[in-house]
Amino acid sequence: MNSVQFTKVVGPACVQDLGRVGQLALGLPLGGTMAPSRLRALNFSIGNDPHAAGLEVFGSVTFEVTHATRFAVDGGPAERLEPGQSRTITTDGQRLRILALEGGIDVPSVLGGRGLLPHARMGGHDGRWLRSGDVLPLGALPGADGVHTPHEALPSTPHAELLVPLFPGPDAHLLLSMEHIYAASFRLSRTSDRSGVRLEGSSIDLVSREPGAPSLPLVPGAVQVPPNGLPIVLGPDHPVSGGYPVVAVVARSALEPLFVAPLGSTLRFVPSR
Amino acid sequence: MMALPALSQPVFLRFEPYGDRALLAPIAHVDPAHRATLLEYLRAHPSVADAMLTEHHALVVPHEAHDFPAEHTVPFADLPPREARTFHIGVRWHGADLAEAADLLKVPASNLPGLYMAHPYTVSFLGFLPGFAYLRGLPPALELPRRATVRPRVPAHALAVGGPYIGIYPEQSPGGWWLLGEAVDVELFVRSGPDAGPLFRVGDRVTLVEATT
Repeated sequence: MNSVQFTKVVGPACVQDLGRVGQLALGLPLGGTMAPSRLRALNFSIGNDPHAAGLEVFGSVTFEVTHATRFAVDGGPAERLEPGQSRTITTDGQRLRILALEGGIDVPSVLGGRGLLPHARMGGHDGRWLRSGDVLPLGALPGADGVHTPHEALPSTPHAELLVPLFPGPDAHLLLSMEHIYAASFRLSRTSDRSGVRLEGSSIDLVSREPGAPSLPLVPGAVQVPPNGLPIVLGPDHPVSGGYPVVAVVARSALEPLFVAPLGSTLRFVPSR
Repeated sequence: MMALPALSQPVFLRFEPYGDRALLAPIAHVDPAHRATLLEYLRAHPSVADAMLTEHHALVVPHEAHDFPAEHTVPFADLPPREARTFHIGVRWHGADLAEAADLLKVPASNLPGLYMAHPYTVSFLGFLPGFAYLRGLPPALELPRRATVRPRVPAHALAVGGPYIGIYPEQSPGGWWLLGEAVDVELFVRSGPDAGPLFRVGDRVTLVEATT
């Protein structure tokens, strides 16, 4: 069986696919990669099923394969790796890189997905982040040839303010007005992770705060305002319910650009049309 | 196994957009005993990809390109009654906050376990951590306010009370509830294999008993 060995892993790296649909009632968020359109395109370029699992790399990985294997990384064309060769993928100003390997990373599917859910220690490779020396199985070679096109690079150094369209959320009435949130400028905090993008730079005042407010179901893109006023935009591994007010929800089409933006980028919210 | 009483009255739900992918409806008017049936109904709806409940809201994620009607009458009379499962959970009553809780509730610490074991609990909703169930059924006299500070590390399987809820931490995590005991011989979240998922589901009954091991 074909496999991939990650001979050196620096920083977080995890197996991800397009997520687990239909498990919210079991307490599990959708999860899946923060860059689904990229993973789909990379899979397409090497003939994989769009749902094949790839790797999210937040630092650097070096890998080798047991059999000749095509692979694709964001920002480059599909390539071929022979046994005995190795390749290294490193973030260089980007928040993350996405790697797709021919056949897909064939870790067991748990509750409909192969991706790591870190706080549940579930999915991915043994329910954990990758470590140097890990060997992961690859699936059967796909029948299709794929289309060898170069992929759009993920953004590295931010050159412009991110404009993120919002819909009012179930607790929008706790804002002085939606204009209050559109007027503020934020930075993507380095404490952000797969559960949420934490914002800093401006804090959001609420008209009132109900202690012990009933828990609300949560979705990716929900904008929560915790007691310190610094908003959190929930990511793929969000808790399924929570008590912080949800004042707004990011438009779905804006989630991937937000999740792949380099931490430290500046952000402004705008009304969704 | 205990069947819930038959449902006859349809319940009206009005969903509002929750962003551009999901819908949210208030459900505080739904009898808590019927919430599990409502959840199964929503999950089985042909237009629904995913659904979940908290005590006050139902969330629905429709399938791509499907319309889920904003106004919805749930025909409870036509739905099969859902069987509630009952779990008996053994507890060792040696929680770090047991003595302090007894002081606050003005009962001898040795009496506290018996008081908490005298009531059946029901899974109201899931959240916080995978496998964490918010259990209802505490009499007001046994409720404890959330603690002033959050402990950075609550041990796995801690049985704890926070506000009107009692619950069991599936694994070590931060927590601000009162630690009364430790649940034994129970796996609250199975991480792999065919039984993967949480032990408790909405509507399940939980009875606490003295641990024998």
